[in-house]
Amino acid sequence: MSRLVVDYILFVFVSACGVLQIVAARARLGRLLFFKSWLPSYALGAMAVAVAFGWFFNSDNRAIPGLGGTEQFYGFVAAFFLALVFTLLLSSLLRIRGVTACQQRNGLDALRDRTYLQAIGRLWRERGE
Amino acid sequence: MSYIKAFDVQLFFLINGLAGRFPPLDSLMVAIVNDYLMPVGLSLVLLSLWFEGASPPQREKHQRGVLAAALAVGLANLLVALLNDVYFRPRPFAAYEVNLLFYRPTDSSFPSNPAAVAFSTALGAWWANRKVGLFLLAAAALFSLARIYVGVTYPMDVVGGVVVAVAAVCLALVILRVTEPVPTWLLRLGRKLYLA
Repeated sequence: MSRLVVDYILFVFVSACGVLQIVAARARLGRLLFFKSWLPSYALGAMAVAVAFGWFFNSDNRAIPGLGGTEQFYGFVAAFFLALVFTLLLSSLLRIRGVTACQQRNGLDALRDRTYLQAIGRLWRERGE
Repeated sequence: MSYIKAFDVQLFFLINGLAGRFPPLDSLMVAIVNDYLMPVGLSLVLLSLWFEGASPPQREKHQRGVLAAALAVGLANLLVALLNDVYFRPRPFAAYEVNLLFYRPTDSSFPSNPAAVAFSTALGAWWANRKVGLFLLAAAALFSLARIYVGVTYPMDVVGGVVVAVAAVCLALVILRVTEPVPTWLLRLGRKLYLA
């Protein structure tokens, strides 16, 4: 794998993690955040995006022929998927405390008051019953 | 036809003629025209739309917009590749003395692939959310303008890219409608897994 591919995947991964924190804070998906409150989550998200873009475009000359459209597409999908999995797992580990009896919500809204692993665990138990 | 071509070249030189006069503007345009900045930026904004929505129906509409835009980008790439097979237009720097601020792409100038992809993303988002869509349309327009400014594409190539994008988005929406209930199943599966 070339250095550019690694750089690109890292760039998308970090910026996608940042964007996920910002959108989770906006959508009030509290258990998808790494921090308990909204403001640090916005700050962390914005900082991750700024650092990723700043680093990627200043670490090398990117105005030369590099990745083709197809490579970019696959790299983007892989990095975004990794960022999503990373966010779901890390937020589940960091925000497991303080979850009490909560409302039955469906879809993304379930992540307002329970972590992703707890939500998936509930789904698993329901299937077993 | 020759009148349109002459107008196209004239408009190209009007925009590209500004290059080299204002170094800060040159730097800005070179940054915008980069192969990674706009594609990644537009894609991240589009994907953030997946999570947006005050109510579940509104969020579902956004998610259908994201699906439509993603499908449209694939279709736009396919349409551009098909058009390139039947028609090749040399880049401006291959035909004229231009102010070139970017590397020399080797593919056909018409229709502009970056414009087609950027406008497909923006129009897909616009179908679901006017505010986000307008923001992305402005970004796509700036991206396309920057490509003319740095000397790698003609204005008519951008127009061609926009036409391809409109066709791709319409086709994507038709495909999503015809293949119903598959998109609904996908969204339902996503909701079941707490991802939609």
